[in-house]
Amino acid sequence: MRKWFLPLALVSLAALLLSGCSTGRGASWPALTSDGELAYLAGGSYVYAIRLSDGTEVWRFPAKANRKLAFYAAPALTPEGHLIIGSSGTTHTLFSLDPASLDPESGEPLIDWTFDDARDRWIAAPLVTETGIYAPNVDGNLYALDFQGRPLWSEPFSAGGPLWSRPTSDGEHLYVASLDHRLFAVDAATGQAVWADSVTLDGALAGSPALGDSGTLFIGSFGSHMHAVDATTGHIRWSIPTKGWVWGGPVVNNQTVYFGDLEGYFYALDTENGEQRWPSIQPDGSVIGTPLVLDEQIVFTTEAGSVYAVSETGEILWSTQVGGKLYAPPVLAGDFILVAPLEADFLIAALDRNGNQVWTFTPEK
Amino acid sequence: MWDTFIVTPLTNLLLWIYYTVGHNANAFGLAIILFTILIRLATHPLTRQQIKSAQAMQELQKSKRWQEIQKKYKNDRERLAQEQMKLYQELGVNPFGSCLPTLIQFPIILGLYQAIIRALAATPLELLRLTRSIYPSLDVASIIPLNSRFLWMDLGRPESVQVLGVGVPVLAIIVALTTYIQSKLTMPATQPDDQSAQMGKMMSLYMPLFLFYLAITFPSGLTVYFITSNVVGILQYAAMGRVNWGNLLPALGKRSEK
Repeated sequence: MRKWFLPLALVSLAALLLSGCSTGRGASWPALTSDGELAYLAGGSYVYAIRLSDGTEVWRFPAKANRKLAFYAAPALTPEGHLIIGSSGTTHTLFSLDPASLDPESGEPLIDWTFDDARDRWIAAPLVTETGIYAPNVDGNLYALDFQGRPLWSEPFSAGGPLWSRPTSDGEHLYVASLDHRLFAVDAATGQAVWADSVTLDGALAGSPALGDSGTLFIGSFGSHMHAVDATTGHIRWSIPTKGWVWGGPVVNNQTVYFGDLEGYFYALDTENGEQRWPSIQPDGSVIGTPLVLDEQIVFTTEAGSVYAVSETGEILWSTQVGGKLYAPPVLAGDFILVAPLEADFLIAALDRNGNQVWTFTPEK
Repeated sequence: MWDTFIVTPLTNLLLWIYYTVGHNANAFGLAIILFTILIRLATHPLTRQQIKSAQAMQELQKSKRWQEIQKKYKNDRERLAQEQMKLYQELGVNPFGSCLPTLIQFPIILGLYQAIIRALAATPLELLRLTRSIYPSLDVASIIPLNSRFLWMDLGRPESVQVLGVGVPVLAIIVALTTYIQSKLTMPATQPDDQSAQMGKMMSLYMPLFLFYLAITFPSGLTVYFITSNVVGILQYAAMGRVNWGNLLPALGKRSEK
């Protein structure tokens, strides 16, 4: 017995060490959506539906954790109120859930349909328009589906590189950013490329492009630039350097483009020429999530777990420390600003418009 | 500490090689191969020390004095251990001399594994972590995300080739084979009752199975590392004339004995 014990023990120790090095962290951070009554959180093993009035759980999907499923892409709501959510686990299924029909036994929403053609994870939220569902996948394809889960195009649009961000739409065209530095314009009806060639920028594009009033797309890159691209032609109008890599997509409001970078700076640029509206603000950590425009304030989160609100003139109106790490963008839900921290004791914090915490959501085991 | 002194430098070295070899199709596979060769060369003095110590132990165990004390104290394990230790000291042989270099290399292997996984950064959290690991002197914004394609593989995922609708883990089979061949070729010729040889034989069976399991479970970038490491290991032994072909091809071994 002794002759095999030591080798077996050594091999087991090595296995333990190697597997210990590769587990323990999820693929991404939680993401939120709301329909004004419920908040929907893609929070790892489950998608939760939480009542906004008091922060209590209404249901979770699946009722029992499935180790092949993991949810990090923000759920998207169809006009009929169905929830579209993709798995980032080892199974790459896109689900359509019907929150109006709950299983009487498990309490989970019934599955309306599933789509299993994608070859990789769903990290980005799908875009839902009046015409269909446009779901970007890490396999480099943008899948277009109708509300019954049937393909709208003869074949998905292939961007080549991984797609980590939701496309942006002007109603006719879809603007798709790929992690391999390229920006595409796609005809929403046919799935064909609109520009003669994709626009290649100076770094990875991890966030969604924002569309301004003048037909300009704004997108930040890992090349530490904010770029303005003509949505009709694909020509770059201007590029402004930033202090760090830009991860999250920007937001446009009143001819100003707002965004943050990984070095922990928050910017406000003139959409026309890229000039700074005011000197960049330095909050307490990296800014990764897309900011939220709320009345006359711009709300953004930091990796250090803080939520900031700034005025259009660059004055910090309030800031509050929520805890954990805030990577996901803040979401407006009814009267609340919802944030979903990673590595905190709770999954959601609901703030009022002055930054006061109203409730937190911690799921029961 | 582990991260600062082992994983981060190795990750940066890997990224630098990737950047240097052209950061396009197949570059990451090539970078892993070059990276493995570089690390094996850097730890070559340890490997040489390991081989020398193993050889010294082997010669000691063949010696007349060793055989005598084995016979004399075969029923008194405590005394036998004392006498063996005395002999080690007298002849200047370190009984752990062959284990120590292996133990020192083990953290490097773990670090390599973590560096490969980190550099691939297939998820947002992994990519965020990678951005924090890159030295400022290394301008890698233009090469992220790394192109994980290498030949027919995606180095960020376990590999398999579809044969008649069945996924065959070709790389995992190559890993198991090269691991088995390496352990056989580098195992010294020993006497049948030698306990360390028995253990070595068991290891030569367990390790290929263990690495096969890792290869079908973990990203194939790690499998490329294992295969390269095995091949370089065999070449290192061959360069020092320590490859024992007789273990793999008995006929060849018998011929050389004559």
